[in-house]
Amino acid sequence: MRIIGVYHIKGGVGKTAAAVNLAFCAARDRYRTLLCDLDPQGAASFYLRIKPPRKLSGKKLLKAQKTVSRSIRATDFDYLDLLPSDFSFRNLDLLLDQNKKSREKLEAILTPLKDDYDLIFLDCPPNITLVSENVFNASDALLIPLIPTTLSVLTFEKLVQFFQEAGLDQRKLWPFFSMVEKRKRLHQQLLNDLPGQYQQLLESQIPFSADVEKMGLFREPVGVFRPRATAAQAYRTLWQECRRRFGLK
Amino acid sequence: MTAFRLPAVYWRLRQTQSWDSMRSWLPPGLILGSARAVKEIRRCCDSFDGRLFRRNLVCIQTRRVMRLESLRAPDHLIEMAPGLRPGERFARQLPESELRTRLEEILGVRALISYARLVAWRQTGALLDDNQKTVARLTLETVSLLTRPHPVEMGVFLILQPLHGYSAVTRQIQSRFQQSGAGAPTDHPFLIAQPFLPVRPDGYRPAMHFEFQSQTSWAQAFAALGNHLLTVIEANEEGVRRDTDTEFLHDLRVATRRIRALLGQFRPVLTDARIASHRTAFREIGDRTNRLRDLDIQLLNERRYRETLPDDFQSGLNSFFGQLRQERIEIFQDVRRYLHSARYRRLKASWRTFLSRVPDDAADPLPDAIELKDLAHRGLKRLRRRIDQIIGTVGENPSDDHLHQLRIAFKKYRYWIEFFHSLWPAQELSPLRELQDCLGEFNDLVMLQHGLRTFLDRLRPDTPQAVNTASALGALLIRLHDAQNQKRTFVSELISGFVGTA
Repeated sequence: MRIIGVYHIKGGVGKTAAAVNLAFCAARDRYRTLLCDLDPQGAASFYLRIKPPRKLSGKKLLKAQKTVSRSIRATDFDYLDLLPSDFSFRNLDLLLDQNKKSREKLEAILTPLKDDYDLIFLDCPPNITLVSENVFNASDALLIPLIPTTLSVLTFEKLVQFFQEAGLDQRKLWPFFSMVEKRKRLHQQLLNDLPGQYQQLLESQIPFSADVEKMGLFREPVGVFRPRATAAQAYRTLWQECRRRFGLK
Repeated sequence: MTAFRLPAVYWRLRQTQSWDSMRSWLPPGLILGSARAVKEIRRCCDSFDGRLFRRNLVCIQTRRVMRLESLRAPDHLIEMAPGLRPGERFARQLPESELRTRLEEILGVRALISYARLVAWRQTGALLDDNQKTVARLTLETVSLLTRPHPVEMGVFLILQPLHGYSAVTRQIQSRFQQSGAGAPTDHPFLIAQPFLPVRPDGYRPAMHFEFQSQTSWAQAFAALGNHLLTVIEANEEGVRRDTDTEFLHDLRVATRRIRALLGQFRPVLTDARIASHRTAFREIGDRTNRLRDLDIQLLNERRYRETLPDDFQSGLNSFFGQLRQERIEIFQDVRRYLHSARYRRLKASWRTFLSRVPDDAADPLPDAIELKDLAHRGLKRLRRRIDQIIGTVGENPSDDHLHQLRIAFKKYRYWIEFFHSLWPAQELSPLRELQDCLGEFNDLVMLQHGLRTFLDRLRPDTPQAVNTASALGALLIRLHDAQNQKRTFVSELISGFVGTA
């Protein structure tokens, strides 16, 4: 089982869209895939039309393994399940803080699922919090959507610095360009300059696309309602690159 | 590994229902989308000896996809992956997938043979909740079994595929279906099709399961065993002729060997001339098929042998295995011709006649009141004496020839125990099987080395390619020789363990 976090300190960079579409691509390749919606906004759950079960709460999630397996819902797509989000997940930080080994709790929750799934995608909330630190520990790779703008790059560098200071494995950080608009001069410049600076940078780029925004309208991955769209193709390419990097067959 | 899908629930409907009429069967609040009727031809596949069916599994190949399903809930399992392409028969030929791994585990080198074809007109749609989210999938299908001259109608099936996390709504749907006239859920449609199948996947049983009583006469026992073995031979003929799986030939040969073993130990009650003529006849089948069997084993193990060599040496074996493949084509034609020959038919007919007259062919004078149990015990003692005799002449390092003789003696001994297992149920066969398997593998190593040496003797190393081939063959010979010596030591240990047994 591989765990892939989709994370950025900054919000609005395309984390949820990437998590949903990549999980969908993995499921299409017949990997048994679970998408965990850790963001209390519940956008991934919304995209996949899944309401959280009444009994799901942040507290129960951390307390009982049974809650996790009982809360998992099949999506409309073969091989893709979702652990929906609940608004109470906004307190996960506080709840985690009350736990022993508070930075490894998420890993402990996900480990029992190793026989059920080949891949787990974590759609993470922004900011560096205790939830994020759990994601850093649990994940085998962290996909970082990077908008080619100064602010997005700056926050990514802060994340790298955090990893250095915390002694975490920086090889886990897999940034990729997201919401790319090649007609913008700044985007063009950063697309040219940054690859030389980040060794782990993935080659695939996700373009800025109205199709991605329409996911909220169709409530499906782009690959379902616009399979030939550039964005759908870009997610497929990104998934294949991740797959190769993981050495998955 | 746990199954990704939950067990499906099946109903066999008493009367045809339209897709639209299914909407009235649903609990309030659920929506059934429209669905197009699709025709699907399903080939049910298994090994010739029903290895999947015996594990309650069915492998269904449609045009592009292969599915492995459990026939018995709740141990449901389903694997789906791209299936075999035309002309392919083995699990190892499937694209890499969980399905391939599972099938290889169960089937080993056995071919997947299609034994039934079903045609289904299928409509599948999603059951949606008020959020337009799929909570279950529904399939309505009309299934027929394709048989000659006319297909057999299997009926209309309703299949509910539950999804993770929606068990409450699934229970509601099930309850509504039952109230609406679907009745109680039924078995998997494949199990319902069983009585109509032209060939049952578990119909072939080469194993000897005879319940002889102490009062059974020797003539009854001999005829029962002889007839069963003839049935096994005939059950495998078609498979050999079609060349679908090498195991058909193997089972055919084992049955002929068993007949020879049977004849050998019935000497006290049958005329020598009869025994000799039939033993010679069945030896002929063995002789005619020996080379084909050797080639089958060597070709089945090709990948294993290649993998013992470094990557850059492996291509050096191409010409050797290429020649084996070519030789197999020719030998196979000889065997096929032989199985079609009048001589072969006469051999079987003569055996059949002999079996029908067994008491009349008894030795003269017939020993008084000879009992089956007594005959069986005498045979067992004689065979055991033969084994002990060979072991007595074997030193710490048994020669190839000794091990060959032992292999044959052990086979006869084991066959005899299997024939009359009901008379001495305490006899444990598994240590014998282990010993025999080991001796069999030893023999395979000897045969392959012999083949490699012969090929090497004829090779003229006057081209770089021939030199490569010679190096690879030399390397493989060394590997095989090492493996043979290890096996020899292991066999010696097993023999020492056997000597102590009664």
